[in-house]
Amino acid sequence: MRRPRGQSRIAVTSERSVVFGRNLERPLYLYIPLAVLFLINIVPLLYTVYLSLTNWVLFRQRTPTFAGLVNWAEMLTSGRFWHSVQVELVFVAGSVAIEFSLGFGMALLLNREIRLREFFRSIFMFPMVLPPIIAAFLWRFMLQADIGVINYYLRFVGLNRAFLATGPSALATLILVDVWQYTPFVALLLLAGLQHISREVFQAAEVDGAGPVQIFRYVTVPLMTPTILIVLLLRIIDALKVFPTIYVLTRGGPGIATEALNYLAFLMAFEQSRMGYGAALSLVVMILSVAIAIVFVATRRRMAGWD
Amino acid sequence: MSEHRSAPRSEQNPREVSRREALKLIGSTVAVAAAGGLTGYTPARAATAPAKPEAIFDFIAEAAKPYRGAQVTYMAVNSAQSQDVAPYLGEFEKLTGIKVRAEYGGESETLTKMDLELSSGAGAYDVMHVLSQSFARYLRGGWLAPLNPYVENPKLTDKKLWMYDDFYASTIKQLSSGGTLYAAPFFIATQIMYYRKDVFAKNGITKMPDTFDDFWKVCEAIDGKPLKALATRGSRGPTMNVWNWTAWLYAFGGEYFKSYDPKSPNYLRPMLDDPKSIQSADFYARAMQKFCPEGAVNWGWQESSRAFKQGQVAIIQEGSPFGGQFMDPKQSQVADEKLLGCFLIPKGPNGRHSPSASHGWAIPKDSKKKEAAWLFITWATAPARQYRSTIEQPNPMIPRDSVWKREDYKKKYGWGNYIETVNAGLQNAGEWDHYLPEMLPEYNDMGNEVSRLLQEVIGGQKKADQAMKEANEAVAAVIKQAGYYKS
Repeated sequence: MRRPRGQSRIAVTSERSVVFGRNLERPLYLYIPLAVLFLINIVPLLYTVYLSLTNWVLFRQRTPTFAGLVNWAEMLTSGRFWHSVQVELVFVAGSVAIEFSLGFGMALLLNREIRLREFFRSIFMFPMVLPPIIAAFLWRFMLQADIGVINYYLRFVGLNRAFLATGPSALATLILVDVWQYTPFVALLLLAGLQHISREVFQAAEVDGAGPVQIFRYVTVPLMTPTILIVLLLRIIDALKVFPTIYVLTRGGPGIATEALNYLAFLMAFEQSRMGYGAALSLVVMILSVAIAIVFVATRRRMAGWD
Repeated sequence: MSEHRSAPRSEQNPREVSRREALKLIGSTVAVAAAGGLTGYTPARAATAPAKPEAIFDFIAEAAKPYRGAQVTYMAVNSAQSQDVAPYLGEFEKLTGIKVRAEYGGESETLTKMDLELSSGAGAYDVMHVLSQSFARYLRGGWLAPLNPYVENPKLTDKKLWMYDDFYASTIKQLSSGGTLYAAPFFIATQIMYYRKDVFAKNGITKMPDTFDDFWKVCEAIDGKPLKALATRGSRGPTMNVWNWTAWLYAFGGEYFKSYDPKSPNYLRPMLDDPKSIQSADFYARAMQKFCPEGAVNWGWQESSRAFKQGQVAIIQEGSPFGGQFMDPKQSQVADEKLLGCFLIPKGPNGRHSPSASHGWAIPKDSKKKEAAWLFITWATAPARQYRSTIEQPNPMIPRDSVWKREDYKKKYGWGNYIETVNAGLQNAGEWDHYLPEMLPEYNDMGNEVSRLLQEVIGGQKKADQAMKEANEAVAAVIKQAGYYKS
C-alpha cells in the first residue's frame, strides 16, 4: 500500500495498531512495562511490607501470622538496630566522601592531556568490573594477619597488624575496600561530566584572570553540580546496600562492630529464620534509599528552577 | 516442645537434670532411639557382617529397576565428609540408572539455602545433608520424611546387607526422634587437641596436659618457641567460636541453661552470667589473646586448620575428622607421625566435656522421588562404600563400627595415638550427652547471639562479665520469643 505523501512512518504504525476501533499503542508502550514493573518491583515490596507486619519463623510456622507493629516496635527499641544504623551511616559517609574526593581528583587529572591517559583509564576500571564478592575474597586473602600479602610488606616497616581484629580498624578496612572498588566508578562518571563542559568556558575564565582555584570553585563545580548530584546519589544508594564485603570479610564482627543494616537484616531473616523482623529491617534500608533519592531529586529540581 | 517426658529433678541442683536426662526431656526434638545401648561410641547392636559386603550393590541395582531414568538431586555442605560420595556418583548411576545431581556450597550459605528450600515445600531437592546442629530445626519445621518406612520396606532395603545396627548408637540417636530415623549417618565427630610432638619435646614437655591449668602452663612454656602455642576458632557463628568454647564452658562448671526440665521454674532460664560461665569465657578469651596468632579472633576452622597444616601453631583444638587432613601429605606440611600427636580436651573443675556431632543424609518431606532418593542414601551409606571412601580418601570419621575394626582402617589412621584419642573423646561425649542446646530448634539463634558476644571478649572489646550478662539476656530473649516460658 502506498503511503500518502506527508504521512510519517509512526502514523502508519499507529494506523496498524488500531484493533476493533481502539488504538493499542498506549497500552503496548505504557501499560505492559508498568505491569511488569508492578510484578517485579511493587508486588515484592508490598509483600515485604506485609511480612514486616507478621510473625514468621520459618521452622515454626508454615505461613506468616499477622502481628501488627510488633517487629517495628522491637526494632525501634533495639540497641542493636540503632548500632547498625550508626555503622551504616559511618560506612556510607566514610566511603562516599573518600571516593568522591579521590574520584574528583582522578577525573580532573584524566581530563588533562597527560601521557598514558588511556592506559590509566583502563587500569582504573579494573576494580570496578570485579563482582563485589570476588573483590571481597581477594581482600580477605590479602588481609590475613599471618600470611596476607599486605602484612607481609607492612612487616618490613613494623606496621603489620590484624586489620579485622578490632571494631574501628575492621570498619575502616571495609571502607577502604569499598573505596578501592568504587573510586574508579566515581572518577569515570565525573570525567564524563567534565568532558561535556566546553573548553571555551575555561578559556574565558582564564582571559578574565581567574586562577586554577577560582576556576575550580566558580566554573568547574557549578557546571558539574548536576553530575555530582547523580554520582553522589548513585554511590550513597549503592553503599547503603553493602553486603558481600561484610559477609566475606567480617560477618558483622568483631562482635557487632561492622554489623550494618543489610547484614543485620540478612542475619535475622536467613540465619535466625525471623522473616518478619528481617523484612522490617530491610525496609529501613529501602526507606533510607528513597529518602535520600527524594532529597537529591528535589535539589536537582530546585537547581533547575534557579537555571 | 510439647512431648516432654517427665524425669526426676533436683531443685537444689538444677544441673543434675541438665544433660544426662535432657535427651529424654526434650523428647519432641531428639528422643532416645529405639536401638539399645545408646551411650557414645558403640554400635547400636553387635552387627554381623555379611559374607559378601558388596552384595548390597546387587540388591540396590535390583531394587532400582522401577526408578531407572529418575534424577535425584542432593544438596550438601562442602566438606571432606560430604564429598566422600562425589567421586563415585558415576558408579551409582551405572548401577541403578538413576541420575544424580550434586550441589555443594559453603557451610553458612548452604545451611541458609536449605532452610529456604525446605520451608518452601518446592521439593526441588531429594536428599539433603543434615548436620546434628540443624536437625532439631528441620524436625520442628516438619521438613524431613521419616526413613523408617524405607528401612522396613524389604523391596527397598536389605537390613542385613545395609547393616543398620552397625552405625554408632550416638549418631542414630542424634539423627532420630521418638524412635524414628530421619537421616542415615555418614559422619560422626568429636573434638580433640592435636599437637606438635617436636615443639613439645624441644621445650621439655613430656606429659600431656590433663587439666586446663596444665594446659595453660604448657601453652606458656611453648608459646613463641618457635611457634605460637594455640589455634582455635574465634569467629562468629553457631559452629565457630561458640562450638569450641562450649567444651571449656562445661569443664569450668558453666552451663547454657539452669534446667532442661519443662516442669521446673528454671526451665531454659539461661545461666551464662553464672560466675563459672563467665570464668570460662574469660579463660578462653585470654588463652586466645595470649597464645593464638594475631587475627585469630576472626578465624573459623578453615583458618585455624590451615595454620596448623602450615606448621604455624603447636596445638589446635579441632574436630576429629581433621586428623585425616593433618596426616595427608597433599594437604599438610606436618603430615608426619613423628610430628603429630593428640590429647583430649582438658578437664576443668567440672570434668572433661568432649563434644559430639553427627551428619546424615535425609529426604525432604516434599521430595517427589523418595524411593530413588532412599536407594541413593543406602548406596551412599553402604558399609562397603563407606569403607572404600575412608581408605581412598582422608576421611576417618565414618560412623560404622565394622569399618573402624578393619585392619587397613587401623593401618591408615592408626598413627600415634589418634584412634585411641578419638575413641576416648567419643566415649567421653557419650557419657555426657553433650551440646544439648543444639537440640533446641533455636540453637542457631542462640549460637549467633552468644558467639558475637564471645568474639567481643576475645577481641578485647568487652569484659567477660559484661558480655556474658548480655549473652544471658540475648539467649533469654530468644527462648522467650520462641514461647518456652509460661510466665
